[in-house]
Amino acid sequence: MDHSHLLERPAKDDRPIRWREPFGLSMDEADVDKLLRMEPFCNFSEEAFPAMLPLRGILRNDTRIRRFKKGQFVVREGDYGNSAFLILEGRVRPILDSLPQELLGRGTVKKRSMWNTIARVFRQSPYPESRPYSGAENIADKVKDAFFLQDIPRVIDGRESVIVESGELFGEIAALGRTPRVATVIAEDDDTTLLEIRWQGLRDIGRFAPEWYAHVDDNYRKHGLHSHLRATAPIDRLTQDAQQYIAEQTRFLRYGSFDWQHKFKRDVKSMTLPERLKSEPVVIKEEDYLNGLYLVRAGFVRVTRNYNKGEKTVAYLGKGQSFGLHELVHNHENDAAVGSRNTVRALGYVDILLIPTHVVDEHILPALSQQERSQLSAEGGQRTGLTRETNDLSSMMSGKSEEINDGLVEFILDHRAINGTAAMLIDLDRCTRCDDCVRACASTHENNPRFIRHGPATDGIQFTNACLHCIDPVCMLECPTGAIHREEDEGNILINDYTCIGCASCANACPYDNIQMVPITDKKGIPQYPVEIDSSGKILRQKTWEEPFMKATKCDLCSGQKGGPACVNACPHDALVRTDMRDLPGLVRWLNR
Amino acid sequence: MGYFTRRRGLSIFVFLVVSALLLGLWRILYHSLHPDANYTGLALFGVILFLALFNARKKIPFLPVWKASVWMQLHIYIGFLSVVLFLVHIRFRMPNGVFEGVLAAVFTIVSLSGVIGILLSRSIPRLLTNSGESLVYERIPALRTLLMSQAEDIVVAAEKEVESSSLTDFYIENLRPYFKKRQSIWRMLSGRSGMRDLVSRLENLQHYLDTRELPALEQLNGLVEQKHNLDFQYSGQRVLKLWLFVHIPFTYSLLVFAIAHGVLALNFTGRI
Repeated sequence: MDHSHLLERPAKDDRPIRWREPFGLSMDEADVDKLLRMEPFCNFSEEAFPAMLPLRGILRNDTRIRRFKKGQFVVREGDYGNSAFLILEGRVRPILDSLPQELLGRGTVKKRSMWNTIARVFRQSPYPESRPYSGAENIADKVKDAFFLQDIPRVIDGRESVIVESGELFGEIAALGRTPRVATVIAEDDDTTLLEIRWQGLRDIGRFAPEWYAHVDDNYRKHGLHSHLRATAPIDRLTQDAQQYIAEQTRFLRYGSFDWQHKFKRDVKSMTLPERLKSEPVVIKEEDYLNGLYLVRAGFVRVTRNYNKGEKTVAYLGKGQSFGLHELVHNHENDAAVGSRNTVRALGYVDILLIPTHVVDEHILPALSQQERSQLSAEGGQRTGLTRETNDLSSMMSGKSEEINDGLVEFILDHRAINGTAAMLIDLDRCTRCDDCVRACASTHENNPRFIRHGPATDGIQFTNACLHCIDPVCMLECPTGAIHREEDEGNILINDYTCIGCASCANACPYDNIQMVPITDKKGIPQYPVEIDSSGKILRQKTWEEPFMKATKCDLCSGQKGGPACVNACPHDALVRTDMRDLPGLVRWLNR
Repeated sequence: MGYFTRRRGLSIFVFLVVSALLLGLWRILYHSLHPDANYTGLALFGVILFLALFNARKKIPFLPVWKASVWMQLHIYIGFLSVVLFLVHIRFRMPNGVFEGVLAAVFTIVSLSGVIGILLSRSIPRLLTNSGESLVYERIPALRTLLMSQAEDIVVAAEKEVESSSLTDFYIENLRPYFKKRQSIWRMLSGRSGMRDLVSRLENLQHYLDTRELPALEQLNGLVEQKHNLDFQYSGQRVLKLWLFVHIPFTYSLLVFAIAHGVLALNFTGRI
């Protein structure tokens, strides 16, 4: 069957399909041919790719070629990346140490002017979800203005940086892991040519060419792991050689499923809370032998201790946090070895780095002071009580931990609220149910609120059905067009209305049911249907016998709106907050107001 | 000390200081034979206008002009200040004219409804939270219908199974009216919802049922409790909305009366 039409750009007025909007408009067949002759693509079997998703199509539509001048930023530390880069020509320099913000040229997100804000009151259609279908923004080839690192020798002097040569891949961990970039990368040569591959392309190549993921892992050990270890206490105190040795000895462990959301949604409906807890993949069980120091690379783990017939959650740990150090120190300092103090379970998909015990004993423990060792050793030997686990070495030493209701911790984990960077919490003891928040949201978003003031609650705190802007946005996993994406600067999860094809993949994937599919209407409130067009592109008629255009909608945190989220601003009773669930001190402060 | 306690303490302190200053200023104006009523009247009108702007602010939520919670705090404490200004304006005497009497009555209604509104806003949400699942007000009638159809299904299934009408008779006589009708706000908020009586009658019904009907009885018991929560949520949320139907229309009336009063007063004093 001829699938060449898939490589053609579809007419704009027809129902949108995958690759409606290619990543780069300038990619042509000659570029694709050239890429297919290069490493690593020449190693992939084109036959392994399905006819509906050919490798050629992925390269044509999910990649673009970008050229950089010497010193030009390719990616900046902290940006949320939706793509990876393969070096075609020239070299790049990742700077592993953080650069001052003023050097990164990070702009502020453009906000609506006051005039524009007032004008929209009069421009807005009275009908819900009304919008023009044509004339929407074209995002292909949309890249930020070039920005250069000035005075490179001075800036990189004293900062660790490496040179990455032609043929290497970088940025894939941030793109696939949906995490911020960990290093700033600048072009090292003039006319550095990079192939930028958006993450949907990376995912689809990996799906049909498994050797691609092996390549990604090797690449991570070579370039990314070192930066992770350097940012982890107490490894940050070690020499570069010792860190390099630890990187070589580190094992990669993966728990849970990459698309954990489907199991979670199923389990919520069919299992009791203890059953759900037991079904979470175990990283290590209480009392089991600890074979190393565990570092969480991505995702979250639940830390529990046995309590009568059940398990009591004592902490949750996320990226950059570790467990097992107390016990390892205890076992090193004492003859009587102890097993793990806790059971640790993966919440969703978790990447763990395991540094073997002998490496910890040889390299990491000597870096601790005698006082630190004594304290950690004493705590590592304690088997009683349910003191909360602490997250980092400084907290471990000070013995400080945030006071938070045990029930709330269990609730946060049971509902996976931990995933939220902007979870909407409502204090039901203060909320008068006036719905000013809902009305404010509707006024700001096409007369249709982007959240439902409803949701599970515990101890008078409602975890409301509004997009959490997840750390791990699994809604993005199955979007065929990349319409749902993470904003580069602030990391909010947004939907590009133009490239959304209304397939509902994101709505089905959202573990919290916070994405709604809505029929869109024209400015008179009449539903919009796909159209039939002739060869000249002229619209013949609307296909009113088909489903009207549907679009995925969700909270966008009032991106571009002055003053931040309208829901928070509209609450007269200080009952509503958007909070990052990793910021436990902030959450505790809000709860104890 | 929590944030809210600190905020309340500071706001009350500022309110007391400003009120004392206002009273002091008025005493000076009064004793120096200035037209104090004109000044205090104008100030009072300005204050009322500002208080009324809170509602306008709510209509355009995307305007970055302070958060609604800041407006609310200003609304509360400037509202209290308006009472002080009002007392000063009427020189702590009862108004003697009909128009002034009506105006004063409207002001009193607006002020009192505001105070009641604050008290309700601070007490009912906690009662609603303690009562059970928080529900969206607009969904409650649909949920009530759903509960009734669930109860009917349970009763019909039980009757089919045991071929006895005890449960059905009880349902028609007692439960159906309970599920069908929304309990009055007064009954709900005063703790006379009738649920307790119904639950005890359901308990007594066990004597006339087949053991196979007991699970159905248990389920009905659960539905009665759910219905109680529905009615409680509905009543509580309705009260939280209803007081505004007094406060806001009377505010508009107050503005109209105040303008008329100002024009008349200035006219009589020969200033316009």
